[in-house]
Amino acid sequence: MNVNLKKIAYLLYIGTQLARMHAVSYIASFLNSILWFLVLYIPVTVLSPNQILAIKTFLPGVFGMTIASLSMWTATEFLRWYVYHGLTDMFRECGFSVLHYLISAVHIDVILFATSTYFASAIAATLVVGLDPFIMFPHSVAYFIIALIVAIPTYLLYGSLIGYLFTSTSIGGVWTNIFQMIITFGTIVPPSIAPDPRILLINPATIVAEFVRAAYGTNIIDVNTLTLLTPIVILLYSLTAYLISNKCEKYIAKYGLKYRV
Amino acid sequence: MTFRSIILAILYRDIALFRRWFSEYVVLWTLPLVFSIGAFFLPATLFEVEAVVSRFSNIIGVELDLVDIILYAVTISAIMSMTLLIVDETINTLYQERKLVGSLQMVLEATNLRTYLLCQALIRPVILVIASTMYLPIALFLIAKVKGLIVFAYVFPLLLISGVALGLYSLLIAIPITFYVEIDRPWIIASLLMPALLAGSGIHIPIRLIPLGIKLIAYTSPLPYECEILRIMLLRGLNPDILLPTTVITIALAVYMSINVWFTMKTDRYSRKIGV
Repeated sequence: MNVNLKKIAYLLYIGTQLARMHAVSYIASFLNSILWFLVLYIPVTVLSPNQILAIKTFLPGVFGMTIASLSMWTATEFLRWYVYHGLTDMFRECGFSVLHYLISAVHIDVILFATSTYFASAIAATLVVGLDPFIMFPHSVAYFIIALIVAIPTYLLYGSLIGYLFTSTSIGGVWTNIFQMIITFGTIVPPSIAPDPRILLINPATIVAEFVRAAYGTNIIDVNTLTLLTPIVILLYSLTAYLISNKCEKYIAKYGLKYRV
Repeated sequence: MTFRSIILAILYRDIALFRRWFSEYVVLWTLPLVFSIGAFFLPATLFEVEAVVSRFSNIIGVELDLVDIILYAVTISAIMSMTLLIVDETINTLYQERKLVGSLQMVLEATNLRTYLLCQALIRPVILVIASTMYLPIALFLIAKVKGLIVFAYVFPLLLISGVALGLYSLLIAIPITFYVEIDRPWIIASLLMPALLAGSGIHIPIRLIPLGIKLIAYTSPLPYECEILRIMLLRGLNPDILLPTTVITIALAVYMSINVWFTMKTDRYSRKIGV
């Protein structure tokens, strides 16, 4: 795997320009995420005997879920809508694959969009149930930053995986919905439901959610285990994302890519 | 083109779309179901199930058991899937027909826009309610056997009436977006409207527990009243409290219909003048 920093800088620049072009869509997605969050979390918080504990445990799961969902939508956007506009071909002619497209969007999606949506949802959720919004400021900022770092390879992994499945199977975008349901376990649904919570680390987004929980002291999996796993998962997810995206690229080179709604 | 022919054309198109997008329909049945059950049982992953059941019983003011809540969660998920489909289809289909596919020209050659749009708003929601809630009798039967089917028998007519009201409501938004305002991404309106309506309607908990700021938009639609009727019927049985939301839905239906009759007539004249 050849890591070229200049190439990455170019990709981030392209991603920033694309995000500026789609600022309206980002704002709409931002509002949409908060509203969907309220649909689910108003009843969850109201029905919880301890509302503060509920918010601090369930809300971080939304962050993990958002990272995975965003990457899947970004990958399918590249292989679906951009095919029609010719942007996918332009990227591919320059030797870029779905992984490169994901890298180009990672700083906007993970650092800017997911984080701002998370805190906006947190403020909305606390205000709705009459709690002080400042309780959602992370007690340990370091764990929140680690969560952001781990979120990057997780984002690349889920995006590449869905990119490959979208390209090589006939059901296309439905994969995103299937994955969204599976990914809830470990993120929105806390790992405490499993006999051994560590089983749910099989979902790559769980570690992101758990680190955000650790920032509030509500983590279910021991923080030492999470810290120990961090360098391993960063390497493993990045390498797997690279391999899967190469496989996806080879598939497209062999069979082509048709425009699918 | 007769009224019957328009209905047949709409029916034919929606059955074809249903077959084509079957996998998307499976998602439409599953996601609201998971979402709705999750709203009630997510707290149970952190606290005792009994504590959550008791808290919901206190909020509703009726002693409930676990099966009652599951039955309620599954039934209420139908409102969610119905709303998603009707709002999305009504707004986006009309826009696509005019701006992307260009099929409204053919419609104008065969009939007038007013008849076509009113048929869309009145007939299509019935088809969409059936398509979006196909899972409901099966799920209810699996949970409560015959009792589940009885619940479906009295819930389904309510879903049909509310679906038509929601179709007429969505048409009031679809017409300006399609004919009178230049907008690049109309799907943004539909995608924001859907959660805004659901969040403010008190879909899982009584609307009195929802902050006013969130329920303002929802109050313009029939959804909060529909949720209220369902909640009363499912959890407290038939009682006089049902009269107020039923009256409001009936009035809303009449108001949406009246505005739509005028609006579609105006749009028909407008389209013949400037073209579709």
